Amino acid sequence: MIELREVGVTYSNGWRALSNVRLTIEKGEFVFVVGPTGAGKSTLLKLLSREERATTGTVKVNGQDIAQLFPRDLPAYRRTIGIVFQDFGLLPNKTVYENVAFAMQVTGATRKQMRRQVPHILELVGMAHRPDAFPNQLSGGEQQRIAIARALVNEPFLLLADEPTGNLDPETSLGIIELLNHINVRGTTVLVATHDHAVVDYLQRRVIGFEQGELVRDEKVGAYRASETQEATE
Amino acid sequence: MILGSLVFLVGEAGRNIRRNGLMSLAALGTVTVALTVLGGSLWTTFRLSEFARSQPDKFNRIDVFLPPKAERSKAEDLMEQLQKMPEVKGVKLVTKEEAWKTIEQSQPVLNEALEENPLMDKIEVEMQEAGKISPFAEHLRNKDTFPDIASVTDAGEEVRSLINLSRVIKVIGGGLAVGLFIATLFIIHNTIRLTVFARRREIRIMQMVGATAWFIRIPLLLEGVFHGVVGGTIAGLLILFAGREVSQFVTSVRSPLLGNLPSQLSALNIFGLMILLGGVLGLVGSHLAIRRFLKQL
Repeated sequence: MIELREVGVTYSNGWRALSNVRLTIEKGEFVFVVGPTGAGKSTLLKLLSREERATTGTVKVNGQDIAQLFPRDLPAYRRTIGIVFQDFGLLPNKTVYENVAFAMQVTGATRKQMRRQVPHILELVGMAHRPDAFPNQLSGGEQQRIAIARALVNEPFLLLADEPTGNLDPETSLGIIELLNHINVRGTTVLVATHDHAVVDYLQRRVIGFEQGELVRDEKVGAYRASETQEATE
Repeated sequence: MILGSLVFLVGEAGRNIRRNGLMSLAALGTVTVALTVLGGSLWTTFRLSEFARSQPDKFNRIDVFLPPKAERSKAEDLMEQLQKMPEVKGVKLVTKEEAWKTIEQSQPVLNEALEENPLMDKIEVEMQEAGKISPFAEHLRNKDTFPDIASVTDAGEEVRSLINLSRVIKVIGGGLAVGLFIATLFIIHNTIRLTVFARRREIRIMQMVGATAWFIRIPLLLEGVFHGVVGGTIAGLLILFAGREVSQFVTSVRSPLLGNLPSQLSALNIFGLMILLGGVLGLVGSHLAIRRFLKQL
């Protein structure tokens, strides 16, 4: 479903964010992307959301080389994926309901469709009780739940989460990761870039590791550190 | 669905203006000031140009005097002759008796001092074009062609100065208007760019959830038009108020040269022009700002 072949990304200042990456992710997988700052985790997610383009190689999503997409085709592509940001990325002037409905509004959904779908998604993320609150009236964990709800409202096949627990305390982080796991169990492919040892170790799912732009690790079931995975296996 | 989206986008523009109140107010203030300066300059230039253009018409006349003892029939013959000339629009005889009566009424002292009417019959010649006054007056002064004319007076130099002034105002005013138009466009463009820049994160989020460029652009364009139209309306009101005050002042001074300023440019024209100008500048300014910004993302 997601296939990267010899992918390299070099920024205009000469920085090589990714080099020669070969990677395949199947439909319905849950993948943690780990590595130190500047290793290339966020660049991988940006490649998949088409915020960045590969300088070399090909990135295929559902058989389509997304580097070939014209700017006019990008909105339609992005409606098929959901994106969750570390800083939640909620529209500050919109209520919880409006933030979630906005993602449907841009697809041309009717009010009736929104009235049906938005409460259902808010229920799924455990935020049905605060539809009229503004983002600044919510805790970090609650804001991230709304961001996940917005990412899910158009029923994407792929959910990209860039450090979704980066601004949250450990307990709330586990709640968010449980929610992402629940979404994955329902059939959505989930890719999470993270620094958070606890959530990776807690869930024990596929882990791919980057260092200086190179893919150095790919384990079907793993912990945050490669050595810990080995110990667990032994 | 399209109608639903349109209603949403218009509502979105309204919500953005309301929720970004302070930024909207700052943008509105800047646009109003810029449009007031532009509109005020346009109005002043127009009125000055109109005034300078209209003045030569007041001097668009040559006075032809006949000798004191000339018979009335000579005056009538001369009037007939002048009326046939292509440069002449009309002629009017002011007899020395009529002229004396006017002076008697306004200056009774003169009446007492003078025993008999010293004035001459006068033919007022209205010209087709103010620019041809001087050569025509010179032509009439030729004693061989017009032996019955005692003297000819015209406002040649004054007319030439006013025509030149009219040209200068037109050129300087035109240049000033173009310069101010560009400056206003730049100010509005920059102001809207600031409001767009302040919401760059919001725009990125919109792009990430799959909003099309037009979906992002339309509310921002509508905001630009709103700022332009409201700014134009306020600027129009300010110019009308200031214009009325200036006109009243000029009238109160009662300068014989100025008289009442001509008023071809009605209040409705100014108002409509400012609103239109505001709307167009708002639309163009916001379009340029958004285009540049969307490209950067």
